[in-house]
Amino acid sequence: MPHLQINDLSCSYGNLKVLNGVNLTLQQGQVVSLIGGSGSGKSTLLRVIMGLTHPDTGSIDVAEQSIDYTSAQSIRKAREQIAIVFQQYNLFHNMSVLDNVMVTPVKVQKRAERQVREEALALLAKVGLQAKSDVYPSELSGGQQQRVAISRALALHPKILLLDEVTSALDPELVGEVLDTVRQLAKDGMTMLLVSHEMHFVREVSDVVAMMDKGQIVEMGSPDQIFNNPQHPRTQDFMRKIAWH
Amino acid sequence: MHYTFQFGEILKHWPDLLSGALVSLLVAFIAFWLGCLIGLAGALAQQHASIWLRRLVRGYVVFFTNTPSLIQIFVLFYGLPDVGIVLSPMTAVLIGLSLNAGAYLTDIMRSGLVSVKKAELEAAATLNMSAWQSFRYVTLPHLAKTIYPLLSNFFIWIVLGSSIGGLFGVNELAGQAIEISSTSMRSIEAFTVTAGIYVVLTFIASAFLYAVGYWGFRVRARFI
Amino acid sequence: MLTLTQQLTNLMGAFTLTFFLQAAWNTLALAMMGCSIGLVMGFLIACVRRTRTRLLLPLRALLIVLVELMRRIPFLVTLFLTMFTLQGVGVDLSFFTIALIAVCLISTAYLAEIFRTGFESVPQAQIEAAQTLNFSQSQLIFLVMLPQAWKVVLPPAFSFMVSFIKDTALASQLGVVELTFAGKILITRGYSSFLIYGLILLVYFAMSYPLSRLGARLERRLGQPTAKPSASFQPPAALTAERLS
Repeated sequence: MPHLQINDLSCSYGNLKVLNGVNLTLQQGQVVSLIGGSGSGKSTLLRVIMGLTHPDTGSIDVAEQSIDYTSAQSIRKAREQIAIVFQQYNLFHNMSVLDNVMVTPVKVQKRAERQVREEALALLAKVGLQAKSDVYPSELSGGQQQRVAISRALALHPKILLLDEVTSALDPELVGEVLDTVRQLAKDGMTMLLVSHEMHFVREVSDVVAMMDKGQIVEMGSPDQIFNNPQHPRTQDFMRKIAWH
Repeated sequence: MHYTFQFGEILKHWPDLLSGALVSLLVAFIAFWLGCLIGLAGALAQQHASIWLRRLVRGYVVFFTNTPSLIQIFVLFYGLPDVGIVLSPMTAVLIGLSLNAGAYLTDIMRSGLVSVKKAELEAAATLNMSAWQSFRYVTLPHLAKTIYPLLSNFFIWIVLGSSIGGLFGVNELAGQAIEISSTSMRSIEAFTVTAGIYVVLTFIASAFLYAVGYWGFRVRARFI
Repeated sequence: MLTLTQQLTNLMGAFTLTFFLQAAWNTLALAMMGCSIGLVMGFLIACVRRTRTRLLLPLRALLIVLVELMRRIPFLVTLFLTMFTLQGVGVDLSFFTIALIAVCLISTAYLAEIFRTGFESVPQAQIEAAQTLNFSQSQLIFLVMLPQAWKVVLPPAFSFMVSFIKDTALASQLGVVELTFAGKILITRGYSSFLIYGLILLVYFAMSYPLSRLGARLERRLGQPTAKPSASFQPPAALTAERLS
């Protein structure tokens, strides 16, 4: 059973058609990466999956249950299974690191606090930030905040993880620590949909790479196919333009 | 509830209400401009004058912004006769509102003056502008543009504040409402209509000031 | 009229002093109680304004209209209108209660706007993060928005409440035995108007100035970055807070 299925999805902001008939399937344990230029619709696709933006036509099935965008219940149900990590981390400024990780399992998922605390500390330890659990986000570096954001997402026990350009807002020297975390997640078998500019990383960690342009997936295949043997002119163009050694 | 609304009773007084509205605007206008003069003088004094004058201005501002305008006018209208000065209601209200406005406007003007960049003033000095020229061509335009939204809001506030005149017999809008309410015994209708006129009045004033700001000063503030 | 010495000695007498203090207390009570209720109601109105469901649209529209109306009608007119309406309906309330109701209405409107500005100051990204984590509306407001918005809400709300102490003077026109009314009574007993009203100005000053200094200090402590005019510039601040944002 595919974890996530996107069927012919279209979405527009006013007159601008941002997504134009996107089809994508995500199997359990797969890591699918979306690449493409700005404005190609990559981030919008993730936003639609999370219900932050509503599509015009098409559908998204999460574990074969279609999301009904007119029903808040339905969107909530989908969000119970998918977690997103944002480019700007979006940790809650008014909560400590530990509270950020714990707040959703305790308050929203209504799980026992003691158990959540143990889990949260374990997750933070895994990303090397256990010592910072009482610190506030404003006192952390970008890379540290992003790792906390990943822990916060994992604390929900999601089936699918969406990563929206999680390293793009970081100073270069902080990128590595976040990629290490994601790499480990991939190894652990997390189903992930990744949007990234880090081409080496995409190539290394993905099972499938999809090239997006003007709201459509123009080419999709294994990393080897896409990077070494692109077929679509737009993909070829893109590969030529990025600094590729 | 045994009460039949009779708005017609009130609406037939429309000439009085209209003149009341105009008087309100006039009172607000005069108080505003007098207040601006006081405010500008006060702000300049706080920037450039001697320490004692500065303290005096500060005392004036602090006193008038921490006491009710109603009582300020009471002192002028009911209190001064005790020391021999008798003012007409309109005079007392105008002086009171102007002094009150002047205190708030001193603060507004001061914030505007402070925002005039030192660099611009130095540039004016290197161009050999006299103090007056530098004020007129650099400070004043910048001031006008920076504080225009604040001044517009303040004017609206004075229009609403002018309603206090009605308590002294000044025939502005609230005063007319009180009059009509007591003669016609239709108090609810009288004050409802008056409230409505104030809303319309402030909307028109806001719109007008917004338009002036947009076209005249190129100020893009929010309207609502 | 009593001679000056008679007046001054009488004023120092226990009876007059207690009379004055009682009246001053009424002034404070009127302002503080009314504004406290206004604070809660204003907060609720701001919360309702944030909802998006079509179901609540008429309520939202009504609230917007009411708030805008109350802010464009002079306090005096609102006071009179409240009094006549309540008397017309036939309820028998004390003047104090009538004035309190009017104060509640007025302060609710102004504080609703202040809260709205405060809520709008919370970055959209924080709200979206909470939404993707399936926070309910009330969890969003109490766990994320309010903790982040209160710093923007408190200074103008506090300065509004302090400035309202002055506006309660208008309640004397309804017959409420607050400070101004007390002054009028003393004048009918033969005291000099100049002396009494001068004294009353001082009492209002004594109530308002320390609080407004406190408000200014609060504003500095909460570190508002925008250079708005100082907290001594009061009622219009409630207007400017939202018009300039």
